[in-house]
Amino acid sequence: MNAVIRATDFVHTLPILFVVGWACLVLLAAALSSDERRVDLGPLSALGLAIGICIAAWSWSEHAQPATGLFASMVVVDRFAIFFDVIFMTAALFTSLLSRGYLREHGFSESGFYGVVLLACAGMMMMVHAADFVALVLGLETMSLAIYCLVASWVGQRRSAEGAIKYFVMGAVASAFLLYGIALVYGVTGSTNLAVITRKAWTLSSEPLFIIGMLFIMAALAFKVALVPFHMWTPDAYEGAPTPITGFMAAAVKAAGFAILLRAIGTVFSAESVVFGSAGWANVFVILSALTMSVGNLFALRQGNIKRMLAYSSISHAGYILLGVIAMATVPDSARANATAQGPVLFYLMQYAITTIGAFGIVTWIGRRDAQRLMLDSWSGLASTHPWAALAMTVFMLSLAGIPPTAGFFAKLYLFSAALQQPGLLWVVIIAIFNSVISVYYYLRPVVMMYFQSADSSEAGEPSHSPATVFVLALAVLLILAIGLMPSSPLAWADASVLAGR
Amino acid sequence: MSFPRFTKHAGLLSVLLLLAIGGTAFAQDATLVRAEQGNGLLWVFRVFAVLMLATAALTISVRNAVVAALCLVGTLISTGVLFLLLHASFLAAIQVLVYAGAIMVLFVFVVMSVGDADEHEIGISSGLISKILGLAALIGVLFVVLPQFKSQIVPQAAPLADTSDFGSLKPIGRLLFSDYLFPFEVLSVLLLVAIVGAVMVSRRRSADETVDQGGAQ
Amino acid sequence: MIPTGDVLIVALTMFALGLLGVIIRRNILIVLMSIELMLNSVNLTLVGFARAHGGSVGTAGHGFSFLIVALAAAEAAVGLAIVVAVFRSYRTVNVNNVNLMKR
Repeated sequence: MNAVIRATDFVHTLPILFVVGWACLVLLAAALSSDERRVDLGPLSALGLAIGICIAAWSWSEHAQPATGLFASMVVVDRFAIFFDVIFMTAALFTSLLSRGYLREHGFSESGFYGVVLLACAGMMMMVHAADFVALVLGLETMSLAIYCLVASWVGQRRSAEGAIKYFVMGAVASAFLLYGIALVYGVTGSTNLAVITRKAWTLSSEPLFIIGMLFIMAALAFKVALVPFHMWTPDAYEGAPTPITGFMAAAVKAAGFAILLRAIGTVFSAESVVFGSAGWANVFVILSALTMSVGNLFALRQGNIKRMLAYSSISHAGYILLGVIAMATVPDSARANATAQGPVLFYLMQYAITTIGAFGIVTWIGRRDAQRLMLDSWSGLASTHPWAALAMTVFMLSLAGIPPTAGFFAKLYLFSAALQQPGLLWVVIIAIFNSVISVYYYLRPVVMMYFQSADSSEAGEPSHSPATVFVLALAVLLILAIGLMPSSPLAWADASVLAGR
Repeated sequence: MSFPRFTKHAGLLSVLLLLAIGGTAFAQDATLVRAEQGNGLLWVFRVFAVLMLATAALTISVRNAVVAALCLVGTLISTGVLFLLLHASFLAAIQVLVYAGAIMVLFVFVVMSVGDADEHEIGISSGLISKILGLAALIGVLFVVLPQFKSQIVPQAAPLADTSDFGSLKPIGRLLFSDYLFPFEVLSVLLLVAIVGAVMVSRRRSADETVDQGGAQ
Repeated sequence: MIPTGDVLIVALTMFALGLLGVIIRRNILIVLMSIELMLNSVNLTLVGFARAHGGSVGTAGHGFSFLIVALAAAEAAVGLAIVVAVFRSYRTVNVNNVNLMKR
């Protein structure tokens, strides 16, 4: 209890502190804004996030060596965490720009909305920077509570409230499991610090109580990334949420869940007997991965609602990503494992975040107050009325399906080839490839609708002219094509951001 | 809520609450004299553990939400007593003040404002598979985990010195502002989210917002 | 001296009761109370282990437990706000009636 907190600790954690501070600024601006002097909150929070990304980029270049032991060993600042910071802030930036037009179109109240988006982003950043379960839980809860509120923020809309209450109940149960698991681990090891637990895990890994605690923690994390037995909340919450928030959830919340899953597997689960021993974590995860991608894809095939289809598609992508996580976990030599298999996972999460926000951005863009166009049927003939929206949607769908000139293709290629290097994963990779082929069908369905069917009605309606929305969508398309054509440098960033050898 | 049923439960509940409050006072005396050697404290523990579980079982089984809330208060106060027995005097105070006081007032307030929350039946009717899975998991957890608590790996308590300030305000306060400074500050962000979010979600719809669209696209 | 194992068994039973409440009850307010039971049981587990460890390790457990009480308060506030929102749009708090979305 003789903690030393240095002034430099605050410099190391500057990106987090900046986002929290900016969130307070945005909330204050919302409170002071009146009908006469209306503050444009969306661009204001986007500006803050853009500055935040710059600070994070500076921080990334400074932290070639991870800074540990900050705030009495509560926080770690390494390139892995900063890489995810950038993903979260980019997702939040896109979301706040997309929300501007959406909120105006649907007559939302803006007050509070942007501030909570920023605080959710801050919660995710605290979570990936946590070196201790105590800090991890509080960051996770900050994120979760903010997301529950954002899902429910469409006041008076039944789907919003319904999705939020289902998400809240299941999420709160998952948090209780997480906390109970942490309590058991604390009881057995006498610590909540990830590094200390990792050291003790080598001797305790065959103790049932320790394993049960870890099982509870893993179940809670599986809930957050929506792996198959814990995925039930996803379609309802995704459908009920305001569309820009759905994109934020698919991109950032999922990435945050995988970030802590990777950190947990990279540290606590590194004990070989935990991975390969009687409990056989790796085998359990292999089955979960195969189930997740198959169930997600099969249900996505049957959806007529585009938001639900994308929700199930996000479940199947979680299955693919988990495959990469397993590939990392099954290499006994930790340094080599991180180098070969973790980079592709980070790369995949990065491009998936951009693509999925883009896809939900199109749904945001073409939806009007009187015609939300959430059903696939209403997309027919869109190419003639909204040519740019149709073109951008085609790019996003091709990237989600993993078709060559886009980022999604390379992400899948790297991920599957990393998995193929592990003996015993061949059959899962075959299932994954088979699933990718199936998924092409439902990803191309909206494209076929848009280009090869004539508009059934005259309810064309211009897309709401929000320059911010158009900017975000154009940027997302450009990023996807740029990553697809020149994948080497983003992949190099991802490779440089892997966790240090455990 | 139907009035007669409420009064019936209220009688039972007031007895439980009185027991809990009386027990709190007794346990406090007992911890003050630190009569650790005797079996007396063990019996106090057993009584309040049973009381806690009984009120918890009532919470999830009564039909009326107000009665459930009162049962939950009983559970929380009994837990506070257990905290005292485990030398967590600060947490016991927090438990009664924050949980049994503030959170439960919030609950009762919402129950009252939302109104009659009677449900028609208790049973497995929707999401049958998930409910069965949940129950199976529950039974599995109980059967797998419970025996482990008697194992060697569970640490056992050593007697505390009379001068020990374990569990009092001083060491916890010191901890919160040194080792736990970062989580403590994150907690402030968490509470900010809760305040802003709760206001955002529960406000009334303003005039120009879209009304509910039911099945519209 | 209270055996740690007894405390843990009591806590786990309460956790199970809370989970059972979430599974079988359809009144959303009681579901929220069941979640409070689960969090309360986590606190009891932590306090039990903290007593067993004693010293600064035990104090850390108490600190964590304190943070969880605050977390539970925040969670209850948000949960109840969402319940109020649900109630405003449905006029019911029965989970089964909350089913607009297509499976």
